[in-house]
Amino acid sequence: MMCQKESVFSGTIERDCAAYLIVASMTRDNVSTFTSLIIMLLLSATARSEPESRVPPPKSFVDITAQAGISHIHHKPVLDAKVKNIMPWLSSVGAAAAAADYDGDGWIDLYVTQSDVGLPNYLYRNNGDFTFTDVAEKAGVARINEASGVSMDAVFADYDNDGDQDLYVVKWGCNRLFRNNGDGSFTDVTKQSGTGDCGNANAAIFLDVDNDGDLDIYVGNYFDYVDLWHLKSTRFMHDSFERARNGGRNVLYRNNGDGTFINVAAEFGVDDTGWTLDVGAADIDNDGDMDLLSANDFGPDKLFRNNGADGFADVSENTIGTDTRKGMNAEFGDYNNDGWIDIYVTNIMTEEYLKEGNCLHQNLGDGSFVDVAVETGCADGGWGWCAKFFDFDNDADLDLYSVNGFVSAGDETYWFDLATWATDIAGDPAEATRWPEMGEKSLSGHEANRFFRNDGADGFGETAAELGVDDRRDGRGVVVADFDNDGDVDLFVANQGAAPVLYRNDVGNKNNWLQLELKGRSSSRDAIGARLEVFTGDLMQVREVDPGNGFGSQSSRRVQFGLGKAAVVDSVRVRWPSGTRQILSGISANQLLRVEEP
Amino acid sequence: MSVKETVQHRNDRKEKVVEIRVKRQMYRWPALTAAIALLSLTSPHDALSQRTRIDKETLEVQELVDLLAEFPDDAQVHFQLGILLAQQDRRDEALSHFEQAIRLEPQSLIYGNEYRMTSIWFKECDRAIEFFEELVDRNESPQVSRLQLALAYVDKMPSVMLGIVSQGLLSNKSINRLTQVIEQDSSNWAAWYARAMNHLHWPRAMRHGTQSIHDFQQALKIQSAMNLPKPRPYFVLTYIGLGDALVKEKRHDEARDVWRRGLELFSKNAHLRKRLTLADNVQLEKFVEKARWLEKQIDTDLSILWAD
Repeated sequence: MMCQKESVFSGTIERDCAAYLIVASMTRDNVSTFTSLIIMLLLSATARSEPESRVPPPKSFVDITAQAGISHIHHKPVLDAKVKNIMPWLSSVGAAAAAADYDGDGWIDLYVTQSDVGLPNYLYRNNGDFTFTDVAEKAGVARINEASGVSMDAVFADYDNDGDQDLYVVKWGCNRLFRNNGDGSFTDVTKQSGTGDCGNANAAIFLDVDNDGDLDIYVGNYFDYVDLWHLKSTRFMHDSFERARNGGRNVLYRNNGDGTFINVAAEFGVDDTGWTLDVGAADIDNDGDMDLLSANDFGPDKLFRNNGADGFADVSENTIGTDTRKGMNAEFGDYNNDGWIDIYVTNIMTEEYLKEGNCLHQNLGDGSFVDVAVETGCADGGWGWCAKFFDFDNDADLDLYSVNGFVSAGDETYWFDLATWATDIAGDPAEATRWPEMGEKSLSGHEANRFFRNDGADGFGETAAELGVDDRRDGRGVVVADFDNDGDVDLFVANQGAAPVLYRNDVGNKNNWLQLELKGRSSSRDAIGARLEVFTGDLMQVREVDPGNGFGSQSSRRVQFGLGKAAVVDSVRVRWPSGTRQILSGISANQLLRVEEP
Repeated sequence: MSVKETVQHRNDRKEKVVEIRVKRQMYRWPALTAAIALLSLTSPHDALSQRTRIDKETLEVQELVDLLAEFPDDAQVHFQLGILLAQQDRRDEALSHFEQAIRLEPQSLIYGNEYRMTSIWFKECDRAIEFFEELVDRNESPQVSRLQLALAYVDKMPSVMLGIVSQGLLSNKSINRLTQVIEQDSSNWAAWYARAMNHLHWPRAMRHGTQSIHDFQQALKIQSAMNLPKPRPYFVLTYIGLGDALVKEKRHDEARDVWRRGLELFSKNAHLRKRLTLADNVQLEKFVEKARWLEKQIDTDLSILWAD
């Protein structure tokens, strides 16, 4: 039988529906697994969550970068020599990574950027044994760091709904869109698609802003439209350290459905001119469409509520407030399992002199938010970059990994020079050549990354050292993905001017889990923005299919739920971007469930 | 405590501070207060004395307005009217009358001080800055105006809409103005003390510590040289601040010596006692760091100078 929209609430029908869906998803799974799933499904409908240990084993994450065959070192961009006085500052971003199963073999692959002219990007094909092979040259996505611009971020998505993962790379310079040919290679379709904005972008996400079934692209631009390698003027920096609005104008490419896009950012009210380092999207008001967050450096972050046909409304002031911090990261997740998606923005904090701190905007469900970062213990992330929510130990709540470090160089600090100059009455930050010489000095460098383990009502506990992820390189992008398909999520960290780190999660399957991979029909094929509610006993967990949130990175779009001791999920409710609702019941734990939109 | 609760708590505290201040101000001018009371009792509206407080205040405002019609250049009446209007949340009128009082008597520390305190309450620090900048530009009682302007910059610093760079900019502006005051009059205790406090609230990494210690020591010298039979209440501030500045420079023992000397003069002072109970240096540094930070509201209320 087929699952019906909004119509399956009785136990029997729900079981049938779930069984159908499992069958539908079994193209790669063997029959014995299927049989056991059905038996478990029938036997365990009444299973409930049980309290689980909150003490994970030490060093749950193991650095296996070298064994995995990932040996490249990220190189920073080298810009126009006219601004060499602050070159270390300017060249402090670009290490990024994106994850997707680009070749459809069931294993999550990795695309990793370089940021210096002439150096290739990497497409690490997952060999299925936790080793990777770089196939970027063959695939046609290696040689894109050129004199006119270098890579800053990348994101996969199936923009043409043909069943494979395409790739969008944003650059300081002109962005590039690559269509996946379905045979392991890509074709550059930037020109014909109209997506080659030549701003200086640091972020992009794919989302369906108008829920019309195809994916649009939101691009966050940092500098205004200047050629950073051939500067005509050196007056291109932010004009304030706290309220700058002279950054690049963000772009929203609406997908016309025929392989072309058009920039509608102004029309939709999201052409933010803040110094955007990251953009993110989630349905914060649970009304079925994705809202946007622009994390802005040197000034207020912007939260835009999606009003459907009326475009977006800037609701920042009455939601997350107007801040003077340095927004670096836009991440969403329901950290307290109350059914409302919360927001985590990293900022910069150094205990001795800079007490800004990260923001955890808890969604109160009435349109308002309150920053609870200090109260929950996740405010001090250092000089923060990417931070991602995920359940590393499958204990049914979202933990946070937050990487940091700005410029790690010599023993001397640039902070004194910078702050003395910046607080001087005659300071003029927009003029780059007036900044004090940075030389070999560090600025909030050599910081240890933070892992905020969710301890429920007790907030977060910082456990990076305990878990073995307190690396001190300058972290930028973080990819969360189950690279070995063992049911717990692994981590890849792109470091600036340094080697990346691939961590295998060795926490072990002490807790149960469920992964879901959605395939849209009326909705976009990737189902980005679909809301999943997983019920086990009294607990409801909510996740959304990720558009690529988080600075300099895109995690796997497989949706991971930790289930604790629950062997069976009572029900999974899916709200597809098209509005279709679907309920699956009695789902056995410890499987990857592929669900197709009815 | 959530952010919302913190903000509420902060506002409640401010409210209490203002209430106390306004009451104290009324006490400071007993003659005028008595005159107002007399006017109220002998006016045709005598019966109104039994009415609510607001009605009584309205009546007093009217009486003062009548007085102003007769004596438009009476600074004290403008000032008293400013206080009453502020009590009624009539922000713009209140501030305008304070400004008029200061224009008429720019040398008055009291008028300027009350104006700044009221500006803080009404979140009108920018207005106060603009006003005192204008006075300084016009060279009207420049020493007092510069001091008030320097303090007005500091008053604005804790605004939630300012980050550390803006706070630092304001502090530097304040320091520059106070330096001008000191250059003109090196015996100005308030200027030395205010400049020391400015330096004290900077992060240690910005290396203002030695300047703070120097300025507090100058203030200490000035107050010691007064040779008063009984120390003035504000003298204690210098001991507290100097000790804190020494702690920021990790000169813990010297800090405790300073606080003990202060305690010899002000044996009941809770701030000195609290600090001396912190035997652990790390704990002490944390305490001072928390108390002395650019985002912390610095108490610039000069009324302690003329307090009993």
